[in-house]
Amino acid sequence: MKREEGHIDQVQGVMLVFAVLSAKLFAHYPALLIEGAGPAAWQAALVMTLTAMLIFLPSAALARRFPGKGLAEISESVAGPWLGPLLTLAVTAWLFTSLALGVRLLAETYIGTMLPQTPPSALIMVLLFCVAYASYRGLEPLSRAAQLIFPLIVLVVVLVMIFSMPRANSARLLPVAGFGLPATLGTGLYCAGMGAEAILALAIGYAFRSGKALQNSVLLGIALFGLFMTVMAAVLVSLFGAPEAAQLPFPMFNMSRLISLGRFLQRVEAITVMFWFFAWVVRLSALFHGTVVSLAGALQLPYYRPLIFPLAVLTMACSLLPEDFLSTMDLDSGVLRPIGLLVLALPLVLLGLAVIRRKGGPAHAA
Amino acid sequence: MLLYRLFAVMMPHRWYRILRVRGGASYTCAPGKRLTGEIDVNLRQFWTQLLDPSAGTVTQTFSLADRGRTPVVEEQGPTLLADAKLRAEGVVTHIDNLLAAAPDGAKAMEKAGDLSSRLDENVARLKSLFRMPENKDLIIRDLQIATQPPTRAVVCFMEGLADKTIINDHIMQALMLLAHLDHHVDGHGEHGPTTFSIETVMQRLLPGHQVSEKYDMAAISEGLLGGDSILLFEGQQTAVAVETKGFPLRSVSEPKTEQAIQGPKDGFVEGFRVNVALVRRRLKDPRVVTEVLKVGRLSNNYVALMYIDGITSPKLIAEVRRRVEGLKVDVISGSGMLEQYIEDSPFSIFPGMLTTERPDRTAAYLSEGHVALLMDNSPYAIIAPVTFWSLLQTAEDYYLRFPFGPFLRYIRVAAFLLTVLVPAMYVAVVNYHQEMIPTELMLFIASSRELVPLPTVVEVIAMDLSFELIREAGTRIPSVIGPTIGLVASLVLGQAAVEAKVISPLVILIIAITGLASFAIPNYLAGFGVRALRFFLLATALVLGFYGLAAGVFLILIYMAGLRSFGVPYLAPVAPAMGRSADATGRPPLFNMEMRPAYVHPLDKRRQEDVVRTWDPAAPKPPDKKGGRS
Repeated sequence: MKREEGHIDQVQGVMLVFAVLSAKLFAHYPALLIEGAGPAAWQAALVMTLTAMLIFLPSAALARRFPGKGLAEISESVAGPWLGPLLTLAVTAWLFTSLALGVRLLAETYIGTMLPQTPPSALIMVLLFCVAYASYRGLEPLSRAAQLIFPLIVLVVVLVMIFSMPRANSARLLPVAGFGLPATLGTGLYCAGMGAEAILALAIGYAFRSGKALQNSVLLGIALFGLFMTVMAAVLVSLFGAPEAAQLPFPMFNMSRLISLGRFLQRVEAITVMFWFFAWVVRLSALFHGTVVSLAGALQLPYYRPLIFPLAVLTMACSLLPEDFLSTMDLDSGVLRPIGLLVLALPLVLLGLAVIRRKGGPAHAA
Repeated sequence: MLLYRLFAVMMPHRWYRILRVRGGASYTCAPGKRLTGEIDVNLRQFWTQLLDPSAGTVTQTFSLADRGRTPVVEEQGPTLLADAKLRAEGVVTHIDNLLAAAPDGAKAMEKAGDLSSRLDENVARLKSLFRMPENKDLIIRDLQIATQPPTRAVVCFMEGLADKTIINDHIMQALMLLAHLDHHVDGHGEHGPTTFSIETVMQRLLPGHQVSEKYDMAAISEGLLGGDSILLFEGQQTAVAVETKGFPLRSVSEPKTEQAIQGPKDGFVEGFRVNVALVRRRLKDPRVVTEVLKVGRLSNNYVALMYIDGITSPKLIAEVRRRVEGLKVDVISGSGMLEQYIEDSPFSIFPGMLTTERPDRTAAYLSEGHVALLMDNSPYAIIAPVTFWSLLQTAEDYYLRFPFGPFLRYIRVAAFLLTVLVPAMYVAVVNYHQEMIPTELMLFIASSRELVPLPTVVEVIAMDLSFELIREAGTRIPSVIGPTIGLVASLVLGQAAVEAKVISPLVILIIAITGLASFAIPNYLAGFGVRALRFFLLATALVLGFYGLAAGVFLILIYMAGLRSFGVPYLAPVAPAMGRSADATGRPPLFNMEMRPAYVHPLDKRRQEDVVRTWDPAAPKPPDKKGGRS
């Protein structure tokens, strides 16, 4: 495949990975943690973060073994011309499913909060136009946009947390152990699939200047995301209490509605939701791009752009398959996330094969 | 015939004109009146031409197309033939001269051009080349140089491009009157009358400060069109060019669009040499290089490519030079046209290069490692590469003390966001997200819109377009009354629209803020892009409220993030973050700006030492060379 997309450096990589993962702060994912671990959700978030970082280590080792190469090239090089593309297609299928469900989730979120009369297809079409355009422009512009959006996301999340704090009650964080250590550990391990999108970095590994840059970007990105998720879980529980917080599909939206300072700083949820869109659209654009380049790599096409339009149409069709918002959430948390753990295990298989077949190696590592 | 008379009397004048032309009859009639009187119409001819319209349209109307006549190319035959003959003569003479010079070696062959040793032949070729006698611009003056023996020569120059005082005083007078006063000393130490030679003319007779030899007609033509005077001599295959440029030029005055309260008041003019001098006054360093390039096969306009050798990236210089020299175009009249030809993304809504009329700003950019293009006939410098943030900067930022310079930049960034987002946000809030408006404000908006029959978006677009109209009219109206007309128009229009209940007062406020903010954007060309963005975001907000607005903003971000200017990302040094230079949205204290912008990849990255204020007791002391601190 032609590499005309330029490079992304480590700082951009961190921000891109964080932007991809941080979109989950605005969706139902914090509620998953709270549902499983109760008041100890923040501890589950820490476990989740550490687990996700650990699970990514084989991918990092693989990237360092094959610097300047993407998943498609690594698979083909390690597993041969038949099995390699099949493995790439497996990851591509997971990325695509994550993309389609993400698109539907975002559309349903907007319908549920701000645009109740709008048909999901209209929102999805606009969203996919943005996503396809970002993919068309390439990875460099996308990572730069993520770099610009990163501080906005951080600022909004931090401000919403700070301004909603007057309603917080630290007593709701008790008991500290929540539903018990097993529940906390189990929830943390189960939710580690939230970091599965980090496989995306391997799919676009060719754009990183070195394997080490890829490794550091992803690990720092996951750590940063884990930090925010931990704080978010704690703040949500202290604001709403564990039972209520576990039922919140749009935690950031609900937190924004609590903000009322003086007679001017109030009703800011619409503004919050706008920044919510930025986080999600970067996430979905990156997923779309990862999907399309992996697919082009698996099919051994010289360039990815011809696949953009067909894939966008396919994404729209697939995103409309779930019946409603609830079934979309169930699919995401019940099916996609556990499979995400398997997807992250795939690089481990590739790494083992690479070691056995003596492909790549320390001599090539950056 | 009777029927025709009746027909002619009844029908309108316009119809009869058609009939008259078709029929070939001659008739006159006062416009707007019905025809009365005798008509002589050839019926057969009329019907023939009615059936075959092309038959009668031979000479009545002027057309540049051939319309069945001899093609224009054929009419140009003699001219083309004369040109070919001229070129052929030149080639033949050149070959003759080369053959004659061959025995004298390579140096002599280099000087062998296409000039003949016969003065009349050279003059005839020059006249033919400049289309004389139709062309009156070329002045050819015969004279006798007062040498011993007298030598016949001609002085040629272009009327209006050369300074006649210089020609009279330093060429004609010197050659015709003063030459006989000059006596050379021969080998025996005796004085004698001056004999003619090119060296004598150049070294002893012509007092002009720039004198050069020319060996071919192309160089002579170039010199003449550049304002030089050319001397041709009988018996010589070499001409002499004397620098006599003297065309009318506006004097240096204050910049019109980039005024600074604290900074210098001089701005560029239409002469590129003057502009180069204005920049050089600020960069007194021998490493400052000015290359002179030419663009336009017809306009042959000079373009000065300025950079600092040892600082500016050679790759950048080579790329700018490559783009300018590679242009295959007839006319490039100004920097605005040149910019369109050489920028990276000619369809971009944002300028790909920075134009400035301030010499101090140009010098500052050169010192950072940028390249400047100064075009003859244009009072602007083009700076390359450019980033989006530099479009929001002014020269004044650097002249103001630290807390205030950056403050102005933040104001401008806020103004950019305001002018782009405010109308769209208003439309989104009023149409889709009423819940985010405080109750009192919502009641006020509702009451002010109660009697307005138009939808909000129509109000906003109508007022925005009216504002653009006032702005455009204000630019075109003569400068004396322009501001007054603009003020009156905006006041009257706004007041009348509100009183007529066509527009709500809040929309007037929104558009006023938007308009005011748009004027805070210092770059004139960027202003167009900002307006385009405003209307684009208005459309997206109209369709899907904040969701559409966010989608629009994201598309713009992706679009801008993908732009490049001479290889430099448009959003650098913010995205991607490059180097230690924070001179983008903000501006650090001048004494902390140690490094040149990394995105231009300067050869010398440091522009000042870490410790600049060495006298300051609070400043850290530079390390002692012996080890330790002084």
